[in-house]
Amino acid sequence: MNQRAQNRTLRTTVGRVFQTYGLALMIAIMVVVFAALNENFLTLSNFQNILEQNAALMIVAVGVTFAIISTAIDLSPGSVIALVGVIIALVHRDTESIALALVSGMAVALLIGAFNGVLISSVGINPVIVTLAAFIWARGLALALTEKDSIVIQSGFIGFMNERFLELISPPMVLIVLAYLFGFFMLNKTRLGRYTYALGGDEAAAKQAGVPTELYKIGLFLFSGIMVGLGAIITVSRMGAAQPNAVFGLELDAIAAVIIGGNRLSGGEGGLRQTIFGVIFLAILNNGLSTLGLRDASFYFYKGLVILFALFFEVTSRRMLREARTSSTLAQPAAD
Amino acid sequence: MAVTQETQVLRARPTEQVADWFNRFGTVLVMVLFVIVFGLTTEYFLTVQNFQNILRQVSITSVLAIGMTMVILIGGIDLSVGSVVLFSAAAMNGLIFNEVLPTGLAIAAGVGAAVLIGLVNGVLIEQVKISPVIVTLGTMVAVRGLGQMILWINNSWLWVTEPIFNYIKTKSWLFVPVPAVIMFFLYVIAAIVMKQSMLGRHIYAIGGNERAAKLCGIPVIRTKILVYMISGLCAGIAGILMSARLSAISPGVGQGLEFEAITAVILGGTSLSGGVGRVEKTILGAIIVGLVLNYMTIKGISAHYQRAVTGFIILAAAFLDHLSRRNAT
Amino acid sequence: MPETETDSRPILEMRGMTKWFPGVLALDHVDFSVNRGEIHSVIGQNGAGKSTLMKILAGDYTANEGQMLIDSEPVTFSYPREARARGIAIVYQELSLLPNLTVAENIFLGREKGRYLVVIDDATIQEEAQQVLDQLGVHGIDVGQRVEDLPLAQQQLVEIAKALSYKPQILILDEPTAALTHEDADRLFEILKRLKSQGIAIIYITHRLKEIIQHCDRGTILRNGKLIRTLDIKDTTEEELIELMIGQEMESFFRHGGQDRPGDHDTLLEVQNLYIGDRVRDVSFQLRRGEIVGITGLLGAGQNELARTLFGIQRHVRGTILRDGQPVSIPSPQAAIDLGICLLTENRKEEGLFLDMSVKENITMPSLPKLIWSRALPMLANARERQAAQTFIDKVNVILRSPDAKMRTLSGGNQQKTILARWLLRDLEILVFIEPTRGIDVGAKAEVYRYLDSLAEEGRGIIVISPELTEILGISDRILAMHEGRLVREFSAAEATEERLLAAIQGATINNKEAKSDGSYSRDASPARTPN
Repeated sequence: MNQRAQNRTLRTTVGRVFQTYGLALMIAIMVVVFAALNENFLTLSNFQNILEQNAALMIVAVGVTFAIISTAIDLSPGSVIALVGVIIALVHRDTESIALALVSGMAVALLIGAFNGVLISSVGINPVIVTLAAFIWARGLALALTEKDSIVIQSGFIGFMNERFLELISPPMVLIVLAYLFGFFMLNKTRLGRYTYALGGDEAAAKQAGVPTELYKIGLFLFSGIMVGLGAIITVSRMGAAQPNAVFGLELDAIAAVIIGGNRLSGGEGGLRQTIFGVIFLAILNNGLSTLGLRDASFYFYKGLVILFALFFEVTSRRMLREARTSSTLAQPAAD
Repeated sequence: MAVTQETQVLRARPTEQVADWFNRFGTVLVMVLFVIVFGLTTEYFLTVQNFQNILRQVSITSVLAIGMTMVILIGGIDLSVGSVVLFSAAAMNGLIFNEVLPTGLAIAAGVGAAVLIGLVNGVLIEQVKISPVIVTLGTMVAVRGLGQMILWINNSWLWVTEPIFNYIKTKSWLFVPVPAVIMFFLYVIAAIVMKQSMLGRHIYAIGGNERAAKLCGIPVIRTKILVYMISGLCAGIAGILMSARLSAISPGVGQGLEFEAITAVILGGTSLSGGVGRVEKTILGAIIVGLVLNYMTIKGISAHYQRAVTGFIILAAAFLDHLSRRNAT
Repeated sequence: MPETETDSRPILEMRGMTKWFPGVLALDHVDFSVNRGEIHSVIGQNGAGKSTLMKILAGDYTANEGQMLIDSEPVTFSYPREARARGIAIVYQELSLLPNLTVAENIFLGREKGRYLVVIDDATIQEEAQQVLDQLGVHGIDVGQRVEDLPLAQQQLVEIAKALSYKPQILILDEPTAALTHEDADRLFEILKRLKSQGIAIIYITHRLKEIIQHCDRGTILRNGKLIRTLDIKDTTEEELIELMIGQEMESFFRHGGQDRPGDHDTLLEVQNLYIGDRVRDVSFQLRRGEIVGITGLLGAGQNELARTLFGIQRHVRGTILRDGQPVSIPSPQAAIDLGICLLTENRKEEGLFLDMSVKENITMPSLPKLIWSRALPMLANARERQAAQTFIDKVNVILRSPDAKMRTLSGGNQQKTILARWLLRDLEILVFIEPTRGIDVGAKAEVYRYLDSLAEEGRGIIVISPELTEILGISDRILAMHEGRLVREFSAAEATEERLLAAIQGATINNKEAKSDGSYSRDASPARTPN
């Protein structure tokens, strides 16, 4: 084998190792660093915190994963969570029924998901625009409906959600697990999941094969709506109130998590397994930086740096793999 | 043999003509329409002072939108501009306040730093080849952090004290507030560059068909990096305007500006997939948003509902744009 | 299988098929029939009508006139799915598989069997996919593997398997072996023979005459949209097929002036021992001032890769390129242009057109540096730009309302002319054109050739690459025939004939006898060994 071929195999191996273990390694390094810098990091209670603080992020990431695999993108979750939270609080305030409030909230989340889905799919507007608009108007509505104030929710439900049963498990954690199980099921076992991948692979070819692409695009945004609804419920429960400025920037975190975990931004690839790693990464990062006492400025700066690094890493290792693969299938024309 | 298609007389279909016309004049029309409707339904709207307010309000977003238009034209996006505004404003005023550099140089340094960030964006996107959404998302977060660190060193916020900033804030030239004068000036330059220079032509080519552009000998990567640097430049200049508008730079400055800029660009009819759009129309887009928000303020509608309306405006604009594009082909 | 009456009647009959496109009669009352259990090849040059006929059969087009009978029942199709439902499956050259899905998922995409209403029954899908592959006689493809991980030959088999899963009576294959190696092609034919024995009728379109002779039962030759003949392959030879494809009337609408451009002009460009991946092997040639060199070959023979190398957009290149006697490297289009070389590609839509810009802007794009006021004032001079564009719009005779018309509104032929105008305006010393007259009608083609001729006269070196033999014969001073990556023969204008050329690109040579003046030749020409 000549030098070039040898280099190629080296790159393949390195690429593969980085891809599979790179993220795990980075997470491990982060854990070590944070543990060293802060003795409170490696405690059970902190791990519970990590899960609870980032529950909304983790659950929303499931829906965002679907969107990204289908080559769309969803910039709205954060704002919609805020809005749904406000709806829940308002309905509860006016009807005293937490059940009704939760149902209304879910309904609104689904409605917005459908709305976005129809605009993207049937009308054909770019998903960036549609979800960006929602990002803006949903937050606006949330602020408007509350005049920027929080609305406190007095209900046993709040207490329930914040309780740690057997000192160990709280409802948000359960919801995370349920969301991922549900997500796995939908993505791998149903048409919705299959066609999500199809949309990401080659939408035209899928359509030609008879896949009702429009319908399923709407479907995946509806699914995402379910996740956002859950996220909203968890968020208001944690705060005991609906804050219109809640979870600002959540969607960006979610997208970063999904990509860092190994899903391709251009779609067609990946899955929830990757997302899980990504959200763990981000959750640990969020928690680690804040337990170090970093606020605002440094927090964002370091967070941004780490995210950039992780993204860079992920993209490069994938590229190494891809280059190695294509140069070995010599049947393909070697045009630029 | 048969009739050759080349000899057919080429006449556009009626719907095609309407769509084309709408594409070109639609934005102006909408703006004029709004002015008329708003003017008729409120007293205060059609006053010099109000228009001056509107112009002042839109100036920062509009300047950002210049760079954003170009970035979107080449098929990219820049989500970091809001953070860069904060960073450059903080840098400028930090240097001035701590008497590290004289005013002129401090301002230049602030703008220079912004251009540098643009360079970083450009290199990461074009040479390392990471998606623009991801890169500028990352820089958005990191640069905001940088900016906030500068403020933190200076006790959380920086007073803006230089007389030059005050001048920009309060003065008008021929009834046009200075920030707007700067805005118009920049737009004229941008329009000339886009229409008459090789760079402008190259930008449209790259956005339209990057592969074909490369095959015409256009230095694609270099040009795209340059465009991201221009976006940084606009953010730096916006930092100057921001310093002029506020009396102090605080950590939350600039948040959300990138989305306002994108809104203006979309409203102006520039396609997110690149290659189609005009800088001149972007300013119209920014002004339309400004008109609507101003009207709502006059009417006493809460700022938050205004936000919501902005979101719906984007949808409406995208919808109309989509329709006209569909009829044109 | 018992011989019944129905077995002897054709499964498919097309009578009097006629199809118009604006400006072109693609099919002229063509009769075509296929029997059960046979491999029937549709033969003809580019533009003969093969694809059109197949697309009508597959439901992609509707015929203007004619009748189609399947199993003696008249049918018409408005949509591909109607054709599929009636038992016709077509595998196009461009693969329609989703690369990120597995083999099994691809085969049953859109038709997944389910349980409990929502769940996809992957087990059954995999089983059935395996069954289809078994029916094909294909081993070694794991139905759980992702399509993009398979080599191209196997991807093609999956595509065929997908078509097969619709349980067709008629299977149409459009150029399936164009990108395959010999071994893969042979394997493919084993599989096709298996299908044949199961009673499926296979319609096979290819340019590779050897394959037809070796594997097909019957063949139908089309030329210029007309049916020439349907015959039994065992009764014919490659030469006869070539003869029938080309016909007696050699439509050379531009007979090269024949004036000898003396060979001892400077060598503008020389290529030595060029290897490109595994597409091109050891090619060397020269381009001299004042000459037009034509390069032709079957699809995938390497001629396009050669051209792209000269313009800096081809990877995996080894070898030497000399410009004016000096070795040079061409890493990018910019470098090529600086060396005075330009390239017109074969796919204007992906690599040439700026659809949303005006015709004028499209034409002047590479020439902008020459159209500015001055280095001190690098702004475009509008009047000059307009004029430059207009000059070449006229020269190439693009028909349009105004130079400001958007490129999108032009017809295909006019778009092609615009790209031509672009490089003519740029006025470089070496022009490399791939299929320069693609989509341009006959009359306009002649004008283009005349113009190229005059450019050569002025001292440029022109390389024209085209699969259209008449075009190559019409304008070239020298012709290079490529076959499977090698330069197999070089012809001078005088010694080149269509038959010889066609044989050369097939890998055969017609030796011994001279071509007779009527274009035919004696039967003792034989397919020579392919130079390997």
